[in-house]
Amino acid sequence: MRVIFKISLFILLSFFAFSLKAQQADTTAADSTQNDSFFPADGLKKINKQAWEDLKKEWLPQDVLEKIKVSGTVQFMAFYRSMNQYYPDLATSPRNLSFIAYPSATSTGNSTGPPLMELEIEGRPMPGSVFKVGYSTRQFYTGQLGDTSRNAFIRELLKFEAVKYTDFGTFKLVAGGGANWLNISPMTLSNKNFRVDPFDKLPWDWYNNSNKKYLNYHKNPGIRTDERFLGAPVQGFSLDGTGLPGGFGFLVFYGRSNRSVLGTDINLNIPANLFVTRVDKSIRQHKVGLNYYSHLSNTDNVHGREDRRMIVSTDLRLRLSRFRIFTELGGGKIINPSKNSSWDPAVDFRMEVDKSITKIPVYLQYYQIGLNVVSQESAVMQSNTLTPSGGYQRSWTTDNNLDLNVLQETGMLANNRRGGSLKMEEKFGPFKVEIGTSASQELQNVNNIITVQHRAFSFTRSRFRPFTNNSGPYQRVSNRNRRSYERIAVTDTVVNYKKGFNTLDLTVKYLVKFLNHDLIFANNNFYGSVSDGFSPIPGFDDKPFIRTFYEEFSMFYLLTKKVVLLGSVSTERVMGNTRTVLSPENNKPMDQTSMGYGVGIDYDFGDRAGLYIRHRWIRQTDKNFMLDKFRGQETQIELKVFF
Amino acid sequence: MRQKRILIFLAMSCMMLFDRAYAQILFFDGLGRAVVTNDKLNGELIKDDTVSANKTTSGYTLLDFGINVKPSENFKVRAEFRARNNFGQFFGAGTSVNIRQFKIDGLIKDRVYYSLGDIDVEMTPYTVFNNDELYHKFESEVFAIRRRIAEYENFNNGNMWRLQGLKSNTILNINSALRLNMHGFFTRTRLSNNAGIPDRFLTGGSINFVRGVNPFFQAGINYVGFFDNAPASDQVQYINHVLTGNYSIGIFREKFSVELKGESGFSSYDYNNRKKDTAVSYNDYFIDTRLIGSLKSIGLKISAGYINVGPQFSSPSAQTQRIYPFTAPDVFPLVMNSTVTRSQTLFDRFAMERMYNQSISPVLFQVLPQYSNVLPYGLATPNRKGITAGIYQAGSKKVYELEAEAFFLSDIVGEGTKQLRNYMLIRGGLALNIHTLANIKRNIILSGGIKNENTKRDGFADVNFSSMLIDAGLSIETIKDLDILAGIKLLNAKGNEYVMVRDEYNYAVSFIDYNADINQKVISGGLRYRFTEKSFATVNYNKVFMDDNLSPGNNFDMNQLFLNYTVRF
Repeated sequence: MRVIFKISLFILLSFFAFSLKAQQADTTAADSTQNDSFFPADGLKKINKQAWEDLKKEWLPQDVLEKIKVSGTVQFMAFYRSMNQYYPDLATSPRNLSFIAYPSATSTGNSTGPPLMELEIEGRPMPGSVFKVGYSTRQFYTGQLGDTSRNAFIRELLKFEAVKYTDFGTFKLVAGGGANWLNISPMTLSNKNFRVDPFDKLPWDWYNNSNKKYLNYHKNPGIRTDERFLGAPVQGFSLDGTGLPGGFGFLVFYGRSNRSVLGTDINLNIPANLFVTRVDKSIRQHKVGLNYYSHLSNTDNVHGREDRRMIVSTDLRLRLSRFRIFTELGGGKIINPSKNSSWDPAVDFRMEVDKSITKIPVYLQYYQIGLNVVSQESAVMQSNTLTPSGGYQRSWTTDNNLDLNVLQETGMLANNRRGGSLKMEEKFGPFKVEIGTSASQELQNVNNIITVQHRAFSFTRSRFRPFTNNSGPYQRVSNRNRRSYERIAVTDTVVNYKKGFNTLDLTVKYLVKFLNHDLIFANNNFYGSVSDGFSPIPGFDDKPFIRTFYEEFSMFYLLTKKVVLLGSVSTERVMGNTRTVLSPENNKPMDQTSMGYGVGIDYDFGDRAGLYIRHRWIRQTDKNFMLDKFRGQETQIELKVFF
Repeated sequence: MRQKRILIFLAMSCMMLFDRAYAQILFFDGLGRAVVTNDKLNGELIKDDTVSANKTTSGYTLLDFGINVKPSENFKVRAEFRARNNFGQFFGAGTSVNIRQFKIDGLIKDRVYYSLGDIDVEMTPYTVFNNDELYHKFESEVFAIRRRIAEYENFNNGNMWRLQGLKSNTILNINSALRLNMHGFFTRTRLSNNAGIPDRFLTGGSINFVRGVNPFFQAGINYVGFFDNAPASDQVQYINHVLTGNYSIGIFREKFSVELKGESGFSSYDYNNRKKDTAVSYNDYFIDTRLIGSLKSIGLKISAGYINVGPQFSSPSAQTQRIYPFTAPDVFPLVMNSTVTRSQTLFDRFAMERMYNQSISPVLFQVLPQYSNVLPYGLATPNRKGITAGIYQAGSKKVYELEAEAFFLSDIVGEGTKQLRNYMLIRGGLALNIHTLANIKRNIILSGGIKNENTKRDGFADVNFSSMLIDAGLSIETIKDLDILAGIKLLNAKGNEYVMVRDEYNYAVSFIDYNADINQKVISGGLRYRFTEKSFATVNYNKVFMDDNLSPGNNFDMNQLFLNYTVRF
C-alpha cells in the first residue's frame, strides 16, 4: 500500500507540474526579461511585461468556456416508393428513391423532414446561463460531385436560457428559436394529440430499445410521444416565474409561432406576433390559472388593417383521490376586415374517475367552443375560414391547418362545436381494452365541407403531394405532416340543420408468449359518421353524409432482446351519401376502400443504435370516383444512432 | 481503509488536474443573441403612400460559437461558426450556418506572434484606423446597447479594420534602455475577377523605438501601402503609399506628467486607368502635434495641438467612413410608393446593423454634413489645418468623468472657390456616478454629451452650416440587477453647404448645394435585467422624430419596440 501511495503521489505531482507548465507557457517570454541582467529598471520590466500581456491578449483569453455537453442523433432514412397506379399530381416520379421524408419533384431543397445528423451542443458559460444549439445537416444524395444538396442548417434547437433564483421565486427567461415548444392550455397554446399508428416509425422516436417501446405501447394508450410536442412551436421571448409568494406563478410570452406568418409574407416582415400570458396559483396539489392569448397582426404592412384573435380563459386542475378534473372556461373573439365578432364562449370540462368508483377507469369530457375561439396553435381543430393560419390575407383554401367540419379523433377538440366524449379502459383477462366514443354538433352551419382524416397508411399518403391542399384527382385531398385528410362537400341547397359528428373507437391489445418471446397483438377500430343533426351514437345506414370505418391489426413479435418483427394490416372505408358531391363519372357518391399490408423489423444493434425497416403494400379504389385510385409499395429504412 | 480513501482522493485529484490540463487544448467562446423588433412609420412622408411598408416585425436568433484549438503551446486555431435563424421561420427555413471567422495564431520562439486568416488591424489615426464618426462617448446605455450590436455585427472592434491576411508582432530588446516594437501585416482587400480587375492588397507595418520610463521617449515609423497587383493587361493600376513618423517625449513624475507627441507623414497616390487612358498622381503631407499635461492628483489632463492635413493627403485605410452614406436603412428602406430610398436618420446610423461599411475604399465617401462636416473622415480628413485643444478629468473614486475637445480649423485650399472655410468643432460631456457620490448601493448614472459643429465661408459660394448633437442618458438600478434606462439624442442641423462630389481619382467633379433645416430626436426608454455579468435581457421603446423644416412633406416619425437577450462567453 505504501508503494501504491508513493506512485499515486508521484502521478499527482507530475500532473500538477504539467498543468503549471501549461499555465506558465505564456509568461515565459516576459519572465525571461525579468531574469535578464540587462534590465535592472523596475519600470522597464513592467512595461515589458505589460507589452507582452497586450500582445498576447488574443492568445489565451481569460474566462473561456471549457466544458460543453455534446449529444445528438444520426438518422439515415431512405424511402423507396413504387406506384403502379397513382394520383396524376404525384409530387415525384412513380418510382422514387428519396432520403428525406418529404421530397418534391421541383426542388431537392424544398423539403422537410428530420436531418441526417443533428449535433446538439449545450453550454453553460456561467451559473444560470445556458445556450443550446443543434446543428443539422442533410443531404439528398443527388449523385453529383459537388452535391449542392448538402447543407447545414438549424432545424429546431437554437435558444438561450437564463435563470435567476431569488427569495421571491425562480425566474427563467427563454429567448430565441429554432423552435421552442410552449404549452399553456388546450385552448390557447398547445398541440393536437393525434393517435399514432404503432407500425409507423416516427423520426422523433426517442426509444433506443424497441422491446421497451412496444411493451410500453401495450401498457399505455398509445406510443409515447416526445413531451416537447405537447406544446406549440414558437420563437421569441418567454419569461416564467415559479415558486412566487402565495403559490403564484406566471408566464409571459412574446414572439411568433410557426403559424403566425407564412410564405412570402415572412420576407415582407409583415407584423404578426403572439402575446400570451398566464398567471396561476397552486393550492396544494391543485392549480388554478388565468390565460390570455392574443395574436396581433396586420393584414399587410402598408394599409395596416387589424387582424387579431384573442382568447381569455381560466383553467382549473383538481387532483382528488378518486377524481381528476381539468376544466377550462373562457371565450374568444376575432377582429379582422371581415369580422369584428363578439366574444364567443368556450368551455372544456374533463374528468377522470378512478375505478374504485366506476369499477373501470372512466374519462369524460364535455366541451363547447365557439366559432370565433381561434388559436392556430392550440389543441382545438379550426373551422373558421376567416382566420386562416398565416393571417387574414391568406386564402383558407390553401390553409393546411384548417379542418373544416372535421370528423376528429375521439377526445379531440374542435371549434364551432358542442360535444363530449367518453373513454374507458380495462383489462379483461389477457386483453387490454380501450373504448371511446364521442358525439358533437356544430354550433353554426357556416360551411358544408366535411373533412375526414385518412388513417390507413397516413404517413405514406401524406408524401404523395406533401403539405398541399386541394390535391388528388378531384382536388380535395389535404396533406399535412404525417397526416392526410379529404374534404367532401355536402350539396344540399337547403341548409337548415347543424351537422352532427360521431365516433367510436375500440382498441384491443393482447400480450402472449410465443416460443418464449412476447408477442403483442393490437387491433384498432374506428368508426365515424357525420349527419344532418345531433345523434348520441354514430349512424350506420346511409343517412349520414359521411361514414368512415377503419380497421388496423398489428403484430409485434419481440424475437430477441434486440430484434422485433412487425406486421400490420389496415383497411379503411369512406362512404358518402347522395347528399354529398357525386362522381362526375357515374353520378354516385364516394365509396372508397383502402387496403394496406405492412411488414417490418426493428433491430437494436447497439445500445443507442438501431436499424428499422418497414415495407408496405397500399391500395385504394373508389367505386364511383374512378380516378381516385392508387396502388403501390413503399419501403422505408432508417438507421438511427443516438450519441 | 484509511489508505484506500487517500488513494481514491488522489486518483480523483489526478483526474481533475489532468482534465484541467487537457482542457487547455480545446476551449470555446462566443456570443448569443435573440432580437425581435416591431416598427411603425408615421408622418407626412407616408401620408399618400399606398405601396411602401410602414409596419414591420423582424428579428433573429443567432449563436456565434468559437472553437479554439491549442494543440501546442505555440499554436492556436480559432473557427467561429454562426448559426442564425430569422424570426418567424421554422424547421430549417430561414436558417444559415456559416463560418464567421477563421484564424490561426502562433508564437515563434516565444518572441514573434503571428496571426493568419480573419484578422483585426489598427495602427495610427493617419494610417490604419476605422474611424467612428458618431460621437457617442456620453450617450445613454440604452443607445449603447444598440450601437454595440451594430459594431459587433460589422467587426468594429475599437478602431480596427477586419481584414483577411497575415499580421505579426514582436518586441525586441536592444539593450538595457531600448526596445523595438515591430508590427507588420499583409492583407488582400479585393479578389481579382481574372478579367481585367486585379487583386488589391493592403499592407503595412510599424517600427517603434521605445526608451526608458522616465524620461520616456518613443519614435516610430509607420507605413501603409494600398495597391493593385495589376499586370500590364489589367484595366486599372492603383497604388497608394502612406509613410509617417510618430514620436512621443515625456516626463512622468509622481504628481504630474508632460508629454509632447505627434505624428507626421506623407502620402503618394498613383492611379492609372488604362481603359480610359488616364493616369493621375499626387502627393501630400500632414502634421499632427500635441502637448499633453496631466495633474495626477486631480485626474486632470489637458492638451493643445496643431494639425495640418494636406488637401491631397490620401490614406484610404484611415479615411474610409464606417457608415456608407447612401445605404438604405434596414427598416423602411423605401418610401414614396417605394420609389425613393428613405434618408438615414441618426437612429439608423447607430442602431441598424446592415448600414455599416466593411471595406476600405480608395475614394472618399460623400459627406453628410448634418452628421459630420468638420472631420468627416476622422483626424485624417484632408484639407484641414488648425489648432486643437482638449481637457479631460476623472474624479477621484470614479465619481465623475468629464471631457471637452475643440478643433478650430480651416481649409488649406479653397474647394471650388478661392475662399476658405472655417470650421469649429466642440465636443464633450460628463458622466456622473450618482450612486458613488451619494453612497447608494444601487447604480445611478447620469450622462450628457454635446457635439457642436460650425462651418463658415464668405464670398461667392458662401457657406454657413451648423449642427448640434446633444446626448443625455440616465440609468437607475431599481432592484438588484434591474436597470431602468432612458436616453435622448437631439440633432439640429441648419444652413447651407456645398458637398463635394468626387470622381474615382478623388478629384472634385461637382458640388451639391445642400440646404438643411432639420431636427432629429431619438427618445428611448426601457428596462434591462442583468442575469450575469455577461448576459442580459432588455426591452426598450424607441421614438424617432425627423422634421425637415424646408420640406415638411418629408417629416416622419418612427416607433420601435426592441427586445433583446445577449450572452457572451
